[in-house]
Parts: sequence; C-alpha cells; structure tokens
Amino acid sequence: METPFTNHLSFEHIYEPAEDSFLLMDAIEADDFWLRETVKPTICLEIGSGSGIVCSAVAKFLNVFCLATDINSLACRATRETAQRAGVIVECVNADLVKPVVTGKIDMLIFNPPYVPTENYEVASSNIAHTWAGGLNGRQVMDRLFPLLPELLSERGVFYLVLLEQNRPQEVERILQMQGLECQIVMKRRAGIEKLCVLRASKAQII
Amino acid sequence: MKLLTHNMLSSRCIKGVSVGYPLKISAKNVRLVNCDFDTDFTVRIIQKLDWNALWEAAESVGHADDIPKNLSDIDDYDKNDEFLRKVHHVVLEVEVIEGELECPETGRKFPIEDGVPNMLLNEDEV
Repeated sequence: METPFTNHLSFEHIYEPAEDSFLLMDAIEADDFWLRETVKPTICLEIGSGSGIVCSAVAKFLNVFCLATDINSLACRATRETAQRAGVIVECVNADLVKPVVTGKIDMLIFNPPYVPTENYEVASSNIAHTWAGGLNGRQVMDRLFPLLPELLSERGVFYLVLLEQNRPQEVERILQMQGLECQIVMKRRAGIEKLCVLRASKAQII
Repeated sequence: MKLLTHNMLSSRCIKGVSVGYPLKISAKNVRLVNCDFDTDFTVRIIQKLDWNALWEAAESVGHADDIPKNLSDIDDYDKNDEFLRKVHHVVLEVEVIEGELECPETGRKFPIEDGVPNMLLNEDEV
C-alpha cells in the first residue's frame, strides 16, 4: 500500500500519523486477498480520519468510495487535502463517530480511536485531546460505537480497530462477538511503550 | 459533498426524529468535477443507492434531467453504458460546495462549507 504524502499539513490541531496509523494500514494490506474476494467493498468509512493518511491509502489500494468523519473541522480539511494530493476520492463529514451515517451500507469501517487511558474529563477537552484521550481504560469513545456496528455494517461488512493492550482487547472481542461479529486480532506490534494490535470484526465469513 | 455522500446521510441522530431521510439540499454553490468512470464500480454503487433520495437530490441541484425518476424504468441497467455514465456523473461529479442540508422532520439545518457538511449536534439535541 502506498503511503500518501502528509507533509503539506501542520500537526498542531490534528494527529500526526504514527506507528498506530501504519499498523492499521499494514493490517488492511495483509487482508488484501480476503477483502477483494470475499468482502468486495464498495463503500468504506473511516471514523476520525485526522490527517486522512489511512483512508486515502485505502481508497487507492482497494478502489473503494471512502467516506470519512471527524469531530474536528480542521481534520476534515486535512483529510480532503491529503486525498486530493493522493488523487483519490474521500468525502468528509464533520460529525461525531457515525451518527449521521445511514445503516446497512458500510462494507468496510476503519477506526484508530483515542485509546490512551486518561481521566474521563480529559476526553474531548481539545482538538488534539480528541485524537488520543480515551478515558477509563482508553475505552470511553470506542465503547459508544460498538452497539451501533451490527446496524451500520452491510451484510458482508468488516470493521478494523486499533487497540492498545490496556484497552483489554479480549474484552472488546467478547463485546463484538455478542453482537454476532466474528473477531480476530490480525496484527500486533510494539511501538515504544505501546503494545498495539488491530482487531478485525466481521460479518463476512473468514477463510 | 457529492450526491453519493448525501445518499448516505440522515438526521436520525436528532432526539425525536424517527427517519430523518432524505435530507433536503439547498445549494448555493455547485461545482462539477471530473472522476474516472468505472462500469463495475458504478453498477455496485447503484445497488447501494436509495434511488428516490438520489433523484430528489439531483432535482434540488438542477440535475434531475440526467437520470430517470424510477430505476425500474431502465431495463438491464448494468449493460446500459449511457445510463451508467449518467449515474456516475450525478453521484460522483456533481458537488455541493456551499449550502445547507435540512432535516425533513424538524427543519434543523446543517451547513455545508467548502464541500464539508457539518452534522455536529448540540448536547440538547441528542
């Protein structure tokens, strides 16, 4: 997967792509065959697209129509610029998680959430806090999304989520399995002090 | 905002709204862009579309003549190159740059600035 340029951006108010972003891209790239043959995604949605590096790379790699939401309007602008520079279509909506997105259409959902465990008051306390502060166990923001997944995803839909070890990946797996999604940790990587992984939760059959 | 994006958005997230779809478009500035046409991709997109919502959206930005009001009027649309190119044009090449989306039930307006709809709600609306 080609890494889109982001050197036109300033990272004062948006998240600068880092190891977690690249891990997510690598995990999707590793599923290349399965995605093309089984999921056959037409519409992809990235939540919290930030710089736009992941959705722009995915749009190019899989030839999908990409939607992106971000709660920070500056991130929406950054995502548009990055997509434009990469020569791909990514449509941005300034929104909280997936609130305005209609149900049953999303074939591929991507989320690199604010996963760092913090005090709850730190969550959403500024543009940049939105990108990392995750509240109790780093789960406060992602936990709001989980109940919406079965309705949001199309019948073959798949969800890729970045997690930190402190987010209790096994517990997240159990929550998503109870919603009828097939779950698997598809990639793990240590980045400095962070033990990161990517969880895949899918309605489509896993080969 | 492309009309394909509009097709995927609702205001159901507002407290008390039951359907919130389709959102009405008032466009102040519409731009046409060029996108590469791909037959297979366009067929797959049509299968995802709410056709009524697309037609209403096309009408509100002055492009209703490009597509039929009912998809069932077109036989074997997946083999109809002329039709597929028109759909491709309406869903991907027509962009609302400035304007508003409006909730069909409450009249709540969501501004579109620089092509990006602002769908954020206040705390008392959710």
